[in-house]
Amino acid sequence: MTTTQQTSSLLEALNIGELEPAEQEEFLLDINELVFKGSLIRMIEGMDEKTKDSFNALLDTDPSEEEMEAFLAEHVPDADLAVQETLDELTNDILAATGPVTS
Amino acid sequence: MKFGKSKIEVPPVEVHEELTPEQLEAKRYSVELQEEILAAQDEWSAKIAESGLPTSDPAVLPFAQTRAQARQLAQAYGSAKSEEDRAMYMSALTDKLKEFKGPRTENLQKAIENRQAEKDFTVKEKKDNFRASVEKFKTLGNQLPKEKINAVEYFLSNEKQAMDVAESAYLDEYKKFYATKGAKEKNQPEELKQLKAAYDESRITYGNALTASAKDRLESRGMKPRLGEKKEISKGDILERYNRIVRYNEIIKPAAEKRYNARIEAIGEREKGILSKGIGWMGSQNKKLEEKIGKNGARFVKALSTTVIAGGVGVATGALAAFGPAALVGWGTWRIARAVGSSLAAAGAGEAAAQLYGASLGRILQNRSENKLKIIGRTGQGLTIEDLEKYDREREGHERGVDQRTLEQEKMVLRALVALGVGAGISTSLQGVTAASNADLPGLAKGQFDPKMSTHQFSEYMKPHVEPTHTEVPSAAPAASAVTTPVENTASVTPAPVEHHASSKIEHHHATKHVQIREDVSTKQLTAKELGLSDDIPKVEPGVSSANPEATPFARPEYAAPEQELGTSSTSVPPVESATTQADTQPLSNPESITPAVDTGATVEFPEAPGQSVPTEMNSQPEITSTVSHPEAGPVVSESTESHEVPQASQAAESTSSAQAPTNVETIPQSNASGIDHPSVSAETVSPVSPETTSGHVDQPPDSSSSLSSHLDSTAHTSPETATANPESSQDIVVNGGKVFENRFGVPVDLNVAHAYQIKGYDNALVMTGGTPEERFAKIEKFYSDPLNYGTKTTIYSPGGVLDPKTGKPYLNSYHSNGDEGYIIETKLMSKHGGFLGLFTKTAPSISPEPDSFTKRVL
Repeated sequence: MTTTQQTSSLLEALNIGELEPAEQEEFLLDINELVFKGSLIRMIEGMDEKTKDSFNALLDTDPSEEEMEAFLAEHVPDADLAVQETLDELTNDILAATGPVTS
Repeated sequence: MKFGKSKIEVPPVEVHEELTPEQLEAKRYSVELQEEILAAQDEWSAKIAESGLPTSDPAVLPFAQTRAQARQLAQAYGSAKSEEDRAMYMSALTDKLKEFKGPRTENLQKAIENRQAEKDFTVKEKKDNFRASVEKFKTLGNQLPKEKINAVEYFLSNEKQAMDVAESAYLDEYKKFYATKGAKEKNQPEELKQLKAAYDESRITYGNALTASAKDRLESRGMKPRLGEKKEISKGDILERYNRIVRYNEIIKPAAEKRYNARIEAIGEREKGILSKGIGWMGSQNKKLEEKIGKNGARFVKALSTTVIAGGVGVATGALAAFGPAALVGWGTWRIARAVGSSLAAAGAGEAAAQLYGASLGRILQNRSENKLKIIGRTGQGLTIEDLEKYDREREGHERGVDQRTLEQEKMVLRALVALGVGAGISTSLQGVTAASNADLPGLAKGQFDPKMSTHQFSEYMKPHVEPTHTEVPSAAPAASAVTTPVENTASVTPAPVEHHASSKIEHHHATKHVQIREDVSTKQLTAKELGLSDDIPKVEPGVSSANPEATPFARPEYAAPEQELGTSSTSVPPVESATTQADTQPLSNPESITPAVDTGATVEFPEAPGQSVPTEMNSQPEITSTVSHPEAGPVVSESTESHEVPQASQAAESTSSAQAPTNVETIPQSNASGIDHPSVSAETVSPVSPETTSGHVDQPPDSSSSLSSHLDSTAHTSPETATANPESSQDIVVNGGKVFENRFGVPVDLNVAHAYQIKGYDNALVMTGGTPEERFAKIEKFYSDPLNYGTKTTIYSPGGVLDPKTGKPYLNSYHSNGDEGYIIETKLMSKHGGFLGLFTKTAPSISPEPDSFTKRVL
């Protein structure tokens, strides 16, 4: 299964299109938070000590998005993997828990 | 494995010495012995590592020490000069080898076996227990007559227990695994995978039990269609809906959060601090986004970005620059999608656009267009701007009662979505959303992006190679449509050049293939409500108030426009000292959805803090102020925030009363021209006010509870359990717009509170408004459920007007967490209607009540 297939199934699994607009938004915001946090902790876990120091120092400066982006691009090559793993985990979770419905 | 220091003195090797045949033989044998010992070391090190036996185990260190000593003796043997020395070392070595291969190894072997047995037993026990539970509950469930709801719910509760067992077992191992250095998803041990499988099984079982419960309810009690639904909803639809929503809320989300928490607990303190800062950064970026395009706009963008991310669409790095938190996620996804580089990305884009379209625009049009967009996305066909322009034209002919700005905003959104479809990138798309929020504002020259660019400028920005011509599109329903919108003649429009991503193949495809979308709405006249057009978007013209909040797709209280019926317009409101309202009707859906609600007519009363004012959270609002006064009795807090509902007459009267209070007032200008969402205005100043002023208008409930206020004052001063902690001067209080609330890592935490105070000697103090007391409590509880916030000391005032049902007295609804010591209840006196009567309290001794007891007291 390709990346795109996996990730798109996340929303399919929730059948989000069938929900009320407001509910759709709530779902998306929820997922947004989960993905962000999950990705961030993975990125930090994957950083070496030096990168952690640099990242810590960067955060102390309340960096702009550009600065954050530049930092991640330069120092955290596995950032995409962190996001992907988070998405995969969440997708699998959703698929697992929404499994076959016995009604 | 580290080895102990040997006590054996090894003679230095003289390298250049001529060796006798005996010495050479001894050296050769020494090397053999050392190799043997090293091989044993490798073998046992592997066994130890595999078993998970800690190096601190009593069996490990003696083994290692003996092995090291034996090796050193072997070295010494090989270096010995005399036969006598060799004999001595060999004798010692023989003893050491016996010890090493004998008891040391045996002990180690036993320790490893014990460890393995313990491990196996633990896992087996957990698995067996879980399986037994599941089987038991399944059997029980099958035996239950379905018509008996109680029985079904019993079954349900037991399925939940089974799931909890499995969850606990899984999270245990999950935490342990991620506590090990270099743990990666791909390296997860088989055991963890098995536990996960068991956990998944339990979740499905529980999910099905939930569905069964819902079905049972449907059959036995019936379920009416929701209000406003024209079509009859089938039982299947309800069950499906139940399945999705409930399973997500009850199973998926909690599981994800628990796993995240487990992961946090597994990392070190330093990493926790960094993580906390990172999350704080996310909050701050979100705040900036809110300031830029409004709270609702920010929510929309976040939702949009999530859709894109989850859809696997290529995301430009610029998204991060533009929208921070959500885009941080998108940044990585962009790289992934770019790597994938297939047309599937376009398919995802179409899907994402469709879903977002459903999330942002009217429901009537949603289904038809959504389905088409889905098909387009899935088949890899590209959407073009022209497609949407055509769609726009058809639709515009039927817009009634919708102002120009709203139309333009919607079109902007559509174009942004199309940009996704054609691979223009989320950067452009999100900018389009921003532009949409600022439609019709002065913009920049062609070629430059600016959030405030006009529709035309944005259009050009999106299509830099096309010289657009403007055509006045007549309404297809002349009698009905009062609005005509200039729309670019898109006959020759080609999509914008792709900035960052998407394969050239896709670009070409999108650039040449136009997919017709012909909505059948052209023959139908739709009202604004039917169209689901958002009334929460402020009108350009002053004095025009939102007409029909319910018609908006964001038809939720937090999206509802502030009521302007009190003689105010949306752009010009005379300063009001104390807004009123109430807001316990807001649902708590997402923490961020809680906007401060005004629930009092009271004023904030603290010692004067000149020049201190609370930055407003929101924007595009008239000047609204609140007052802060300083009564003898102590500070009194009141809230001034937006109104989500039409105030009751009494509340309106209260507002008027407050507005007339001749207190010192500092007005805080609300500046935001975008006005895509409704401001949650919170402003306050600190100024001295006489006690008379306080008693005159503070905490006057609609049903006139002046006696209550007196009673409260009296209670406050006489209660032996409380101590007056009246700040002596303005220096005791720092009002800092929410920034002062920091967790233990010093990271500001956004609890979406109206105000935050830092009162010396009282840690942080927050005033939470909006939502019901229960909702506020839930929000606080959620905050403290995050391990990152454990130990954060904060006093939270939640003016909700909660009365103790037993005593009828105002209730104490603040507390702070003291980490491991549990919760410490503080006594705060609140008026019936939420006015904070005074800071009569200080932190009580650590009585450490259980959180549950707090829950009961609050709720």
